[in-house]
Amino acid sequence: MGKVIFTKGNYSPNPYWLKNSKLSIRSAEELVFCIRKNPELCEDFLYDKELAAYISDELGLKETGSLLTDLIERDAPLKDLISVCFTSNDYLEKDEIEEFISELSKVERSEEWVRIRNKADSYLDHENYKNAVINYRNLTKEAENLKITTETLGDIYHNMGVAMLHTEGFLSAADCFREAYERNNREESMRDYLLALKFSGNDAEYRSALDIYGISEETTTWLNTAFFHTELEADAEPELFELEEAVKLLRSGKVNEFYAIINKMTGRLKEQYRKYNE
Amino acid sequence: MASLMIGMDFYDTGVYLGLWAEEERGAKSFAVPGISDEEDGHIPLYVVPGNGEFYAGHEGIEYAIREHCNGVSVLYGRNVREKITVNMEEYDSTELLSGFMGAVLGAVKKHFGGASIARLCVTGTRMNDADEKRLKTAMEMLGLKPDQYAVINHANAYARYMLNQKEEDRKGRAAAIDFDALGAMIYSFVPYENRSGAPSHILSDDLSMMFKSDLSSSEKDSKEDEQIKAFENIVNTAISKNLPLARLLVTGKSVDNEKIKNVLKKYASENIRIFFGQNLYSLGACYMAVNETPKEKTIFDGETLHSISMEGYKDSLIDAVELIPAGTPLKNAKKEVQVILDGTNELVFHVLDMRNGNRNTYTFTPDDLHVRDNRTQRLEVKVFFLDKLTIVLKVRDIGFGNIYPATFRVWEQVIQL
Repeated sequence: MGKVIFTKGNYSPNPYWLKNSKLSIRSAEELVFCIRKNPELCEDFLYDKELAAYISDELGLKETGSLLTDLIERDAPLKDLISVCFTSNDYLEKDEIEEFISELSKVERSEEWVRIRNKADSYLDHENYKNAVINYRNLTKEAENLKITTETLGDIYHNMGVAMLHTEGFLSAADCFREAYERNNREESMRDYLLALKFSGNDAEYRSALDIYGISEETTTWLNTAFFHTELEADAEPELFELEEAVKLLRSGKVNEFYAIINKMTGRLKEQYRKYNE
Repeated sequence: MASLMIGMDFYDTGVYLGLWAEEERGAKSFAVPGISDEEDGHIPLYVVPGNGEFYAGHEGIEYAIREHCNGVSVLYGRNVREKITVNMEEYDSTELLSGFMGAVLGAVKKHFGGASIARLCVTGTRMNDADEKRLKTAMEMLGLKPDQYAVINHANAYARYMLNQKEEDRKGRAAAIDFDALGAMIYSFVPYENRSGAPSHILSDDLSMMFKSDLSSSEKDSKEDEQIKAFENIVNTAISKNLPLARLLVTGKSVDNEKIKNVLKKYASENIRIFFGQNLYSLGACYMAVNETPKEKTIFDGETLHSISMEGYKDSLIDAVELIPAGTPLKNAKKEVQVILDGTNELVFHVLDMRNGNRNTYTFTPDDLHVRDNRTQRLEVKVFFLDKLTIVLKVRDIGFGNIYPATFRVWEQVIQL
């Protein structure tokens, strides 16, 4: 039977961005929702005194905020912090809280590398690419010690490649996709490897890879089409013209003019970011 | 040492006192020797400052005559800090009011062998916020602490009086007509006998323009008949409400004459009992001083007759959560809550009519709600009384963090009671 839940505390006009995620909250109920949906990231965003202060001051839940601060200072177990957040309002019923805590306990008892991988995947979902890469890299280095299977390691390399596209660029990402394919043998990893090579502008290596891996004509055509369409989309972007113009100026030694364009672009991006967060 | 509980009623012409008589478990009118009229306890609103003290009522009048000095009337409607010159000294009006009250209370304490004041409740005719503030300031100047004093209006004092009458004296509607210089106020006390502890309802009508109480000697002959007629109209208004009248209580120094009393007598019957006196409100104020929180609730004119609650899950229980209780002043009769929908789109409200105990349920379903995951639909619900018999519900979608941005769409429903 459905019900209407009365909320507790304030609904803040100022959102709080949970650490290492792309989630923001304005109420205690939203915090509970985020914890429930992202248990792997809880450790990052719950052990945060600023969050505890926000809960106390902005959400008006002084007792909850104070309890959390106390638990953080004592470095209490994660489930204690989660329990405090869950019981600060009526979003979850008692049995749902118990079930979650029980599941959390099971996860805590699972192998460490599984937890690290889940966390890295969550970072990736939340576009926290830097932390995703750090965690994936740790796993790849310790794969043998952690007894990670070859296929699973391949998948880990693949996700690392996705994260690297946003951190270190196409070439590094391509290396990861290649490592991934060599272990998991997935078509997806191969395609991403080849696309990353093509986008990196390394034509020689791209053509060599087509030969080495015996890529079919059909796949090659698909890759060329995908690349062409992506280029078209990129070309249509005015920022790309601006950026290309800036690079030309830099190459011709016109440093001041280069910085003028770059500063204008970053200023616009900052403004967009501010507006998005209002 | 005895502790006194006192009610003080301010009229435009004077003050009446009610005192709690412990042995009789009731409030009694009290005439302060030397200060009040012996006959009815009326204390003229007159204060004389002299020799660093204040002299009030008849004592003030005698002091002024003896010392060949002047006094001043202590009236409503003065600014809290208005300056008044008396006997070439400047005082502010609240200082004089406080001096007056101090002199009266001092005489009462002295009469009771140096007793202390435990609690004092002050009431007054046509009291507004400024009057209330003045009275509170005056009492604080006398050294009374906030838990020792209260200020209530005549409607509240009347309710207190009635709530402390014997049950057989409270059956049926009782109307009080309160005459002063501006005209008359009628208060109707309507007890609800269906349920024990049911609230009693006060209605007040301001008939300021209908009655001119003070006739000059030149007006007496020509205007007296007109005055009697106006008085009869007012009494007829008090009697003719929908509910039959059982008691009629008339107060006001200005109507304390034989002609008026004779007119009143003709209304007395088997069904209507008539009372005439000046101490109704001072006694009611005294009851307030004795017991600030009576068991029975009274709903006054200008307050809601209905309570509104909303069904929902709160503190781990599904319950009807009260949003606006009955007896809330209409200007404050509003509430805002936020709710999250869990497996339902229906908002269920219950309205309880305090007059008869009837309870009605209203289900409000915002249409076209944005499709979202369960428990991510957060709504702001505002409920307010447009007037005594009209409730407005306003619901607004406020989203769910950055997970589901708000649409801010608004739904509205009007409930006619």
